[in-house]
Amino acid sequence: MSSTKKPELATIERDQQQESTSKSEPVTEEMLDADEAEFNKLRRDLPGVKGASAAGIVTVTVAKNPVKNEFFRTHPDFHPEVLLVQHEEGMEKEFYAVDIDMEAPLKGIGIDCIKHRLYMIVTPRGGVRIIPISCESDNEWVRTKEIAMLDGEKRWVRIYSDRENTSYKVYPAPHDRFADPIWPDLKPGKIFRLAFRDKGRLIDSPEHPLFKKWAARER
Amino acid sequence: MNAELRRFKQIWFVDFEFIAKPREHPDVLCLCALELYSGQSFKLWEDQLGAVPPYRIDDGAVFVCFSAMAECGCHLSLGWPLPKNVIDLSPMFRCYINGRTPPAEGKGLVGALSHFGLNTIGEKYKEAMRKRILEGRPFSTEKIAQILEYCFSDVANLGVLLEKLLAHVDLDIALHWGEFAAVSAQMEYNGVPINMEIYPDLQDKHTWAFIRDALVPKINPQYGVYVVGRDGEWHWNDSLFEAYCARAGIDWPRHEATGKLDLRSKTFDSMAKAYPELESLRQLRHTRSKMRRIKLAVGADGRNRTVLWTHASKTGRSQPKASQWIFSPAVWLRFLIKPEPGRAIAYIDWSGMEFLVAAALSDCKTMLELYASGSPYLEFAKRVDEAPAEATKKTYAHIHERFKVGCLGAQYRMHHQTLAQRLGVSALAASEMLNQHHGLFAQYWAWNEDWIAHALNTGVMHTPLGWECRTGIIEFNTRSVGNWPIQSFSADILRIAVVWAHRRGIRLLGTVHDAVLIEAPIDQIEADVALMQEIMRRASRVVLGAGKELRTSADIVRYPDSYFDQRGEKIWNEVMELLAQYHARQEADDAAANA
Repeated sequence: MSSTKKPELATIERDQQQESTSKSEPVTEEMLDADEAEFNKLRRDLPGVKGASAAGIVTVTVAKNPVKNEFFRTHPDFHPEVLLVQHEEGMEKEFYAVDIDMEAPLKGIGIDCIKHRLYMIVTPRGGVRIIPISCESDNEWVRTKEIAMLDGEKRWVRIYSDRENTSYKVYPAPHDRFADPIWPDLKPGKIFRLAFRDKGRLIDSPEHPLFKKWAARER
Repeated sequence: MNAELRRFKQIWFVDFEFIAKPREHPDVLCLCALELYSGQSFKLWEDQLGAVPPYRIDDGAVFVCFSAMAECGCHLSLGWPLPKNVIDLSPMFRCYINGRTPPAEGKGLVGALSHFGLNTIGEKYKEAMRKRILEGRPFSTEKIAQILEYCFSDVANLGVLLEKLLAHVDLDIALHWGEFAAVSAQMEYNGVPINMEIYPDLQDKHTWAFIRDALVPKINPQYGVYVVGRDGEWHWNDSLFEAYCARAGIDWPRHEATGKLDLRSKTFDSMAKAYPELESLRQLRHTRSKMRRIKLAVGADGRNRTVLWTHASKTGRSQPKASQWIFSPAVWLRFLIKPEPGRAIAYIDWSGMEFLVAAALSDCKTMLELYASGSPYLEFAKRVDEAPAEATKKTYAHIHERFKVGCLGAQYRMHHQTLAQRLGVSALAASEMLNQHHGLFAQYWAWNEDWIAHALNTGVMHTPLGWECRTGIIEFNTRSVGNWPIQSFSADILRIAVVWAHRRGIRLLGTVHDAVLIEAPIDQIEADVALMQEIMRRASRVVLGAGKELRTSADIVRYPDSYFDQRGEKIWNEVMELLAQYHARQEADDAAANA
């Protein structure tokens, strides 16, 4: 990024009669350097704004799959393993995280908790989602979805269901199609809180409404 | 008084009264000045003003005023040099009040004094005095004394106001803005050279009335939107325009509430960008509705000059009065710019300024890469498969233009439907382009979100050169807050370049958004352009940081050529043809009368 034409600065001399100001000496690179240093002194660094918008994030969506055909990247470091249960309410299917101490009580009322690995993905427009992948299931859908998640750590990918082969196809984006992913400035603990606890989707005691509902049904 | 001011041996508060004439230099009536430390003062009527100022204007003194464009203009009008150090309280107050509720009395001196609870002479009295001054000479002895007292009352208030404002603006920044205002006064004083072989004809009421009417049948046939009314005059017809749009396949925006066509100037501006075939109609419409007379402010010396109103906008950009300024929406008028014999002018602008400023602020790697390619908008199109790898600005001009509008629209958070209208594409295509922008320039968008959050959290936005705007009082608009840094940082760059160029002896004639107009003898213009480009490159580096530099491009016009802008060529040629016809008709009439 430079000027299209390098000036021959030393050749520039001012004509005092015709021009408005009264510099008569040739303008040299050194003189401009000195000017620049003077203007630089006026400049003050501004406070960084990085991360300011993250404070406004009050929820992180947990979804079974990325949106089909939407490119995404996967966070390379966020892979916590947690126990999850799925709860179906009408048309909605929700993931609930389960505190390890609640695994046995849930089992006691007939609810199986399944260990999942959580992946955090981001879309080109900045949509952030948590995609849980079951660690216990061995079907092709789940395994190919995890392949896509791991591929997404290195490049932009999208998935599409290949029903004939009962698996997902994973397509990479063309090189340079998207910029590097931008991750929200949130710590892992906060992400977990926003995805589960703050929505009431962490079963951490027998007082949890869902536990009570299931327990009542069991009785 | 602020301790930093001690660096000056003398601090002069100065005010002139003058008869303002839009196209001429100020006609100075009197001067009042007061020195802070010694209490020395002057109240001088015009016949007492000498060849040099009665106060120091060297390094050791500072000249304090409210609106340096006017006061420095008076200096130049009197043949006095500009003061070395200037503090202009007007931009300081504008900066302080920016984003706050403005005083009922306005942003002038009375408003500023009133805002800080200082005694003021009152807007009504000030207005009455202004009116009497503008009525001009002669002034009775009693009136002269009254005017001098009135002038001195302004001067007497400047000290307290300076102290109040220096609590909010750094002294060095204040001096920089003061210097910019002084140089703006110099630019106004210099003026833009106008072709005086043609302009007086256009200014003539009868000639212009003939051309203005005769332009319609010249331009209208391709559109068919003007009709002759019962009064024999040409009138715009909405229904015919609607029919034209239908014929041309143009989906013209409508007012949501009424469903009627949105025929505002700004809508026409944007639609003409999307549909270049509308440009002549846009200019014709502007010419007919806004130019019953040509009001360009051209002085007896053949120079167009108008107050440039520095720091007038929220973003700190200058805002000259459009109807008086040659760089107004009537692009064809710019063909009137013509250097004098032996002279040349150059229009030098920063390339892709808003794009690189956005890239630099967000440190968006992709945007920086695209700017470095030399053609960021076309590169954007290539990245999203809308142009082949071998495309150039020449071979794919329409794609370049479309992605330029799309890019700048996206940065301005334009709604996809508005962008669709501006580009003449479907809402779906516009939405896709905005999505592509978000995807490719994710770093910019993340930064912009952070900027908005930070601005609203802290209640203020800054530029590196001190311009500020409060948020959360009257400024809440996300689009406005998000776009503010791009515009304001650009204004910082322009101010540095202008001040710097002036210091290095370049003769500046004006600033136009992201460009400057300079003048020099023909044999020196290339060297001056090279120096100006170097200064503009460095100025961008000062504001944006090392390694982030804007390119520039220059158009030089040497006597006897005139300024050229392709957008106005058709109408300009028609106007010239009609002018020749008018003269021929006049001559025929004269000959008939003589016979």
